[in-house]
Amino acid sequence: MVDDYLSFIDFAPTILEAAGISEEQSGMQPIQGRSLTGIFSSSKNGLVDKKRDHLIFGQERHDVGRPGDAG
Amino acid sequence: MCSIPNTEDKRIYMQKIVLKSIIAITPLALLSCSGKVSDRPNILIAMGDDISWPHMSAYGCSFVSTPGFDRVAGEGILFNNAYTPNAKSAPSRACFLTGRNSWQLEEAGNHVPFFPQKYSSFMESLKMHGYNTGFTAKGWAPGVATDSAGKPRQLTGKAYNTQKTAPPASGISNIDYAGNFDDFLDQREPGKPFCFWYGSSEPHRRYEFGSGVAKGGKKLTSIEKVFSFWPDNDTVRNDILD
Repeated sequence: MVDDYLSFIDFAPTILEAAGISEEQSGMQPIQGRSLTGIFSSSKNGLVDKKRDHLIFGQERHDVGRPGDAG
Repeated sequence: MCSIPNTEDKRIYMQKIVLKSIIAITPLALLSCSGKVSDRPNILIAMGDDISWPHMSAYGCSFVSTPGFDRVAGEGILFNNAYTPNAKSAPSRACFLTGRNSWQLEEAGNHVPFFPQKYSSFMESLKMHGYNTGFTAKGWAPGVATDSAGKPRQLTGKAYNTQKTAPPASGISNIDYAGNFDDFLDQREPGKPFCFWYGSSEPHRRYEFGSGVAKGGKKLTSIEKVFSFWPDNDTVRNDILD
């Protein structure tokens, strides 16, 4: 079990790195996530990468999700 | 664990995000190297639709059995803190495919949007760099993704959906996921690695009412606790088991 915090945006850079494709070669808009390959190659449990002890994300209120389109 | 959130609104909101985080765990755990045709790995993504992490037996749930997921968790990595920046179908998949947050994706941050042409997916990039790419069932959806000529884009590769099966209850997809993956493997170009997206339609509703008890052999009393944001009654308990 790994306790590192990760976000969905971390998968694209992980997969590109595994496939040997640099961000420049990818043709994609700048990637905001961070690759998880360091965790993949580690056999540790718990917090593997000490920097991954938190996660910040946000949600714009244009995406309605509450009754009455309350935001 | 099968823990339930407390009743504070804020906490419930956060928990709902966590509930969607199971999606993050499955593909990561299934990301694996196999059958090397080159030094580049084959990649299989298994994406569930509306799975709640407390309902996976790898996390300690006693009334739902998820042996496939548990095996991958046991042989791979099981994450305790995996989050989606946006807990909805199309925008969460857009974040996954682009490596960008909702507020960095323009219309793709919405539900049922037009996917902006400027944002490429990693699966489009993999295809461009010599990967066989494909998907079965639910890829990026719901929404419209077309190129500048109005032609549909393949954000998750080519669709493989012709193989059908008889589902055990109505509301469960009749798409034969494994059979379509076989088709993809049979039809792929030799000498190239692959990336395949298995996008399950389950456990997203609709459900056949009572099928969990009648066909799945489940008991209403086996559910330890119902999430506090739902009423705890037979209708809801059946719904969970269906």
